[in-house]
Amino acid sequence: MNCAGRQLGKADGQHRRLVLVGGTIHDPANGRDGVVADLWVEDGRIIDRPDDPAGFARIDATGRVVMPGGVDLHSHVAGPKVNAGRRIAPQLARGGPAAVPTIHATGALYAALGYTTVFDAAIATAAADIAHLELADLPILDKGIYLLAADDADMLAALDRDAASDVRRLVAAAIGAGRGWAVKVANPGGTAFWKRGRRGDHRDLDTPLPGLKLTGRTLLERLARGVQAVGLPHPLHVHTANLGLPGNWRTLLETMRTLDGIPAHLAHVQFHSYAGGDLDETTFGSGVAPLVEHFNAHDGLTLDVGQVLFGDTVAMTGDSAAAEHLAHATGAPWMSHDLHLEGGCGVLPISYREKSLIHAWQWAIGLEWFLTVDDPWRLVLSTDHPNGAHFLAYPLLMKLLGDEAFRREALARVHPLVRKRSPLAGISRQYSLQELCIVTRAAPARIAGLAAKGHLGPGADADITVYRRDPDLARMFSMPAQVYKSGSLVAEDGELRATPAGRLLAAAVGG
Amino acid sequence: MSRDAPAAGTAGTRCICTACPLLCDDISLSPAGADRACDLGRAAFAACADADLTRTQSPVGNAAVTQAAALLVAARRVLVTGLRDATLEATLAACDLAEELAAAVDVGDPELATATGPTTARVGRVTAEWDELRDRADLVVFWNCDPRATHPRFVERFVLPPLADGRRRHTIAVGAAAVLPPGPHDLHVPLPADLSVEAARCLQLVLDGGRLADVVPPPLVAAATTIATAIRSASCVAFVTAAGGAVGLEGWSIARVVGGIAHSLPAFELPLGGYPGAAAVCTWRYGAAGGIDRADPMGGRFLPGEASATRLIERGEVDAVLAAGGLGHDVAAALAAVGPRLPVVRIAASPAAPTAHERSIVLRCADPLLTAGRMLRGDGRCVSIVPPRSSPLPSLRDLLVLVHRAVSAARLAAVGGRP
Repeated sequence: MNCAGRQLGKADGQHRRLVLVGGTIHDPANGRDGVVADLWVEDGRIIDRPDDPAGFARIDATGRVVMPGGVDLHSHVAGPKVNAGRRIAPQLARGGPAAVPTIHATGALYAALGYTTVFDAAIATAAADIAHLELADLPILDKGIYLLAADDADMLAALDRDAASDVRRLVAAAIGAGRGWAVKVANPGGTAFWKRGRRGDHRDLDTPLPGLKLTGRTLLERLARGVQAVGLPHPLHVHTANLGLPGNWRTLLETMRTLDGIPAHLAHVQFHSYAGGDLDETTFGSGVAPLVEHFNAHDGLTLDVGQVLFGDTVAMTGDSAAAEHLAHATGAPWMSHDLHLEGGCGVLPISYREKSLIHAWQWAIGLEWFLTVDDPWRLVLSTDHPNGAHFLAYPLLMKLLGDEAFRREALARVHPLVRKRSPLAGISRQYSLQELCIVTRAAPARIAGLAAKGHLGPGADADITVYRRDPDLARMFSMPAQVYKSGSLVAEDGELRATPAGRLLAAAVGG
Repeated sequence: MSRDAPAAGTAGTRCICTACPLLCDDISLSPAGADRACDLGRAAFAACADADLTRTQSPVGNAAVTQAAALLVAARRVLVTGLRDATLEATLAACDLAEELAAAVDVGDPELATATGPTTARVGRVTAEWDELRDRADLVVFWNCDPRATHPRFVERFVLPPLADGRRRHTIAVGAAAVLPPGPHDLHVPLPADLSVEAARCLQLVLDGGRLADVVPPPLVAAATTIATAIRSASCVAFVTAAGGAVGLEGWSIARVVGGIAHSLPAFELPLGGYPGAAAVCTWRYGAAGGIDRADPMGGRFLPGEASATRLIERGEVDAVLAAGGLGHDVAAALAAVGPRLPVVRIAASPAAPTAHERSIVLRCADPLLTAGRMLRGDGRCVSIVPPRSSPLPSLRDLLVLVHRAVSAARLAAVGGRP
């Protein structure tokens, strides 16, 4: 792939007005499921068919699949922890796309994949400034950040006092100063425990934080209400406690119950859906069934999966305790950096292997979530890049969801205990193209609160991906024929055609 | 600025001192001087005021910029280096220029000059911001590190303030010098620097519950036992290490010790290196903090050691150097050793003598103390620099942008386009 990028003039295929002619449109938000139609674009926006079509460049999309540009609701692409990820595993930057690409390559590779919007899901408020400086170097995509505002000392104190107006004020101030899109909580209260070396105390949501009456549960509830009251486009983004630990499905279930009736988004649920006990690896397993049962019955919640796919990658998280636990378990080089009173980050390389019992369970658990949630509009495809896998593996994940035979072949290769015990073998569901479009575009845009993205109706941003139809879904989704960002052709058959800057998505607060 | 303008800022102007990576933000600048500044800071503010008066006599001219661009365009292989005390904005401008020139980039980070690769990639590193030491650590171990020379106010600002409960924290200075006068709270464990690696390994063994062999010299046994005892009775431990010691086997050994302790109680290492801004920008631009063979935004080839600035200069593998902002000692020495054989474009507030030869072009920029922008404190915290007043000279960033424009124009002209 050539991602050097160049700015093209009209003669090279850039047009202020264009029409994609005869494409098969998948636009779930507007009820179009494989409808052959023309798509009109003017000044970066989708428009209705104009009265006078003269002057619109005609681009033949006959026989091709047309979807909105992809929206990655939960990724890690900028800020100090991502930079740490680049430094801790230079060996994963050889012989192909790096596990943690440079910021320019991140934009270029996402765009060539058909994605046009990305959010970094964990930026400490103190690191927002430098994250924005880095994101300014991320080309093409529109981008935003979620701020880890719950680790701030003032915020914890306000939550402890249950001072709703102070919580609202602090949420708005953090979003305003940090130019954030949403608020994320990573391991509610966990940083307070971890910084005091009391990890063992923090096994549930009901232990008071050191020196406070506040618990993880009350923190979640009060903060979610505060975010709701401020009116941010995206509800509280929740990475709950006990990530990666056996038996943590109960924590996720309690998190769901705590947030009953309050809008919230559950991040990378795969990492929070494990059955089993601490002392016996063979008891490790899936806790997905009761979680999905609860989730399907409570429509105020949405989630992204955080799928694990096999291979080498780098784990990075604002949940320092989780990173420390993983480092202890794997013996991998571990990089940890505490921010003053405001959380921290943990980073380490990791290799997911098919024959590892734990890794195979993680892979199967993620797929189980995808295949048992009833409503795809409440679910987002993610790998928690780069934690579960690189975003370049999304086409492979889409094939696993959309091709049952392929999934069965993959299941046959994993650890035998998982083959035997996972309910995956008994699930025949296959995602349609429309459902794949929902979980990669329409749903994440709607859940993120992006009114002009994830659909192809009049007024939408002209972020469009044109695919060649191919029975091999991984091949189809890995190399779009054309990708348009705000109406500009940015990638064609894997070649970058232009590198516009992309916009910062920052929520408006306080008028 | 006119000759009779005040040498310093207006009375009581609050400003940030950029004289060392502490970026002290509590300096009050007045005609009487820089209140609360250390000797290093006071000297920097005084030098800045004096130099401004003379620099107005030689403003940067377009001809010099054009000449610098021509020199860089004529070269086949350019090295971009320096940027030690540059703002993030200036570093980004330098990277933009490096990409235009397909230059090698190395900011002289000592860790990247090691052929075996960075310590972080081999064993990781558990670190924290300096404020965490001030607020949490009840034991501070200065490991072959005396901050008084390189970070003069580090002890005053972060070590001496009492803990939240009013207690005075304990310190242990391991090495030749006592950082604080020995007393009930402050120990000095004398240790020759060349035994640092052995001492770290002994300490790790003792902390792991092992027994030191009889052949281990008694001073090492005593040192390891003393430090281990203090660590066991602490609730949070900070290891303060020096820039020079943070690389190679010593850095590896300490990172292992701290990482091991951190699995059982809060512990972190604070390597007191230089300004990390250039390393951060290079990392997100090229995937590594330096040792970049070719400035490619899709990911440069990372060749620690091989592509370090000093080695490229010493081996004659570059035919022009753009040295912008503060230079590392090793890079400055390498340039001095090569002398006029290597053309250098030097952009700095106070160009170092070794690069001022007949084949060098010197462009003087504003002093970092008078440059607006963002810098990273030594621990990585982003700090906005608001200078107490403006400089008559262009900033480093502005000069880099000018040179970049001139380079683009020269390249365009070379292929028959019009600049």
